[in-house]
Amino acid sequence: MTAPLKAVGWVAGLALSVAAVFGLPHVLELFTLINATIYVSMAILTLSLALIWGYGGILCFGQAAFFGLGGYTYAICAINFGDSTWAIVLAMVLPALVAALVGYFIFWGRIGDVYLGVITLTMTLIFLKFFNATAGDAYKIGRAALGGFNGIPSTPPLNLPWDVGTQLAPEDIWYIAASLLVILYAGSRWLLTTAFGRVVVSIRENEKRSELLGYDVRRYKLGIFTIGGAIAGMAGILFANCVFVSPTMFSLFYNAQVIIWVTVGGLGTLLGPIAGSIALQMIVAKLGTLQGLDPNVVLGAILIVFVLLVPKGLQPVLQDWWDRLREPRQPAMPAPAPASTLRSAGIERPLTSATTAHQPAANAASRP
Amino acid sequence: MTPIADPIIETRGLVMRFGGVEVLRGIDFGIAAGELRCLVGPNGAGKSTFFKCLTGQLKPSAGEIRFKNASIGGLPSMDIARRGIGIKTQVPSLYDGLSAREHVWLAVKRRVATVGGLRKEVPSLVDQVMEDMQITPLANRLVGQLAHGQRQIVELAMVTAAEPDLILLDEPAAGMTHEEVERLAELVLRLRGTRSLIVVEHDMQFIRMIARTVTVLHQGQVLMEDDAETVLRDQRVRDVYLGKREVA
Amino acid sequence: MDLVVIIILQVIAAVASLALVSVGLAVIFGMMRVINLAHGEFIMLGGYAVIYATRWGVNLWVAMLLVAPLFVGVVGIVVERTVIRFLYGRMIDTMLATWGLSLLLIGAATMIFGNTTTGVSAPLGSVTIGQYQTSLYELVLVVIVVAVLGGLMAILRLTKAGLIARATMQNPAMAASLGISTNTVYMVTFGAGAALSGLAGALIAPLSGVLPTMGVAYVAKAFITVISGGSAIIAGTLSASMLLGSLNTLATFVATPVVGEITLLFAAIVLLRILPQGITGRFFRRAL
Repeated sequence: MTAPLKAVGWVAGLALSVAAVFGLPHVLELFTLINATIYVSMAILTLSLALIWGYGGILCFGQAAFFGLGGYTYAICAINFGDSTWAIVLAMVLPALVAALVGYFIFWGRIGDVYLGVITLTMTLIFLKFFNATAGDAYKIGRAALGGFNGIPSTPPLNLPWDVGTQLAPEDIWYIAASLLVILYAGSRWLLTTAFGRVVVSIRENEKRSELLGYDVRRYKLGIFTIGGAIAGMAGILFANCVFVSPTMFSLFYNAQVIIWVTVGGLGTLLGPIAGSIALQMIVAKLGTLQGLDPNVVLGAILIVFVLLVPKGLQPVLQDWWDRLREPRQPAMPAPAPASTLRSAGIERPLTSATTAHQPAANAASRP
Repeated sequence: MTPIADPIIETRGLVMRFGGVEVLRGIDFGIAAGELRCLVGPNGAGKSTFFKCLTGQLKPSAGEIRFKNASIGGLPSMDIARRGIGIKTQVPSLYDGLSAREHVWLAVKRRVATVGGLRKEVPSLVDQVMEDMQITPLANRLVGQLAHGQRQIVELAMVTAAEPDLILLDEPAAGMTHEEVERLAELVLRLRGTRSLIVVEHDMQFIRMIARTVTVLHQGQVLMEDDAETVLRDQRVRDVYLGKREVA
Repeated sequence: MDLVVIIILQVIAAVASLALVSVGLAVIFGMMRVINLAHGEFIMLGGYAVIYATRWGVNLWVAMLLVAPLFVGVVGIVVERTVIRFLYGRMIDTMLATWGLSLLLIGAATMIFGNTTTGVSAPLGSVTIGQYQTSLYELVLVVIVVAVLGGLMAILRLTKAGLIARATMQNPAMAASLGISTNTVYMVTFGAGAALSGLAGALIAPLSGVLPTMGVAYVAKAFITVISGGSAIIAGTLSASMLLGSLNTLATFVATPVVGEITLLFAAIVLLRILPQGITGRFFRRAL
């Protein structure tokens, strides 16, 4: 795309998002607006996974753990402080710290592939089991009772910074959530153009090469993973403001959903997963109102169909169509780094060799 | 072999075992700073394994590797790269989804970070390398879509852009056209003197073009080490390459 | 003294049930490098197969040991033919597709059976050891698990089909060049793995009841056990089950069931940090 056209695209995108952020509260009823805020908070969670999986090459099965931690931290701190200002800060810092800790463990241990998936999944299950078991008076942090399976129903809403008297209305929370999504999207795009972002992408493309050039790949992976944790924490804060925090935030269902949205939207893209998450949430909500149809059936079918027929996801496919429409005579170039190969990079140990079973000696020797 | 007075890299009794198989069986090797050395030997002689030990991709089972008077055997690849060893691997190791320019940028950026230097200079340094290697026309092409010979050049550009003191080239001429091979030889000769190079190659013509001293590896040991003409005329070397059994 | 016996029995039962719910996944992962995330739903289908078969008058043991594995095995083969076979060599994609299948099956089961727990009563009553009681059925379960693992070992080691399976597992390209239809091997393997999951669900049904979402509880545990065990099917499942199962039971005994579960999960994380290839990636490498 030429530079001016790109600029036009950016301006149009910005105008459209501003219109959506400020227009929707005038069009939608309050109930629908709150739902829209939930969708946006989930879209932010999706963005965090799109970043670390699509660009960092880290398939985290437990992204919802950071989401849940963000929510709980916010709720507990807001109840205890009576003011949401520091609660917000802590609810971003704590998930980021946990992500850094887990990431240190994973990346310095050179754990990759499926194993990384298992460890992150296990982590989220530990939180799920723990918070499920926190019923009763024994589990109180300050004034906040964790409430076990029921969670913390009375999660206080955001207030203006250092002004406890002015609690924000649902409309205000919508403005915050929607602008945050726009800002985080733009921020992620910017991040990927920085030196850090470009090295992260290079590691996704060929980790060994980056090492042979002298890059400490562990630090870059840790960096992007930690950023992902902080973003997921923000999603948790917003979710806590629209619904309330409960152990289901850590559940397999939330973890699965995020992965589905990124897959459908297109791995290695940002806009696709965001749009995909919002669209799919709307579809599932719509279907939920139909008699006799379980939304899981639809969600499952969508995932299977996409993996089989549209493995690249929506955004890359639409982009291909668009490019072909604009330049119909040129033979289509092979798409750059399609998601399916990204996904297969590294992790795939196709059945063509018995390497896993019989080269551990060599592998072990090469591990420093 | 004759000991080298001031070697940039040196191995003593380097052994690499995989399970029960000894791929490197005590290699004593060294080159002087600024030297260009060719490493030849039939398939399975242990050339690529030797390179992997030098770059930290494999941890040697025994023996020592010294680079610029420090022991580096078993250090992680990343550390060794930062100390100044660059490698072009046998199968080109590239970022298929990135452009040629981004490859060079990654190398320059790393060098600037290690050596210290102005970040502002990075773009112009990148342009310089692209120009020197005559790959400016490929700058924005995705490397995954380039022809094999072009990919080799891009990898070479990336490795040299990092300005390592020692450059290891594993079969750099493989899959190149005749002109590309000549360009490559020219480049290698230009690097000699400022950089130290070890080149693994099968293409004897290419070896004649570039090398003075050649080391022959066979079954994980140094078979002989001499000037190029002597080595290429040697009966033992021919036997080894043609697969004749050595006369004990 | 009685307490010690009871604890030992409980540890053994826990290890056996962990091995039982994992072995189907292990067969599919070990042979095909496919992580089947619909494993939990195969277990759930096995449970429903028992409930419906007994309702229609089939003997409980026949339903558990024959009807359920057969039914789920057929489901597995259908799944392999319609979905999995297009995704070989794409590990993450198979994971995603089977996750989709898992959701689909949960949703379908909820629509058909309703979101309530259905049960069959456990047969065989209980035994008394000193002042403690334990269910006889749980002990029989241990025997069945031992028989299943032993049978699996015998099939892989002694039969021609087992040889073909092992050959394909070691080197599919070579096996194919010897005229083995790897396609068929994978189909049968997936069916067998599914059948084992069905058997697990059937045997669990009397203990825990059957619910459309019951699989979720098992799939993560099985997934963790199999990966911790490493690539060897039987040795891996057994060693990981022993380690994780006994830790779980002991921690449960000392503290609470939740602490037990969390101990299991922590143990798995630490284990993978120390042995990134799983237990059999380092030990018992030549084992099956």
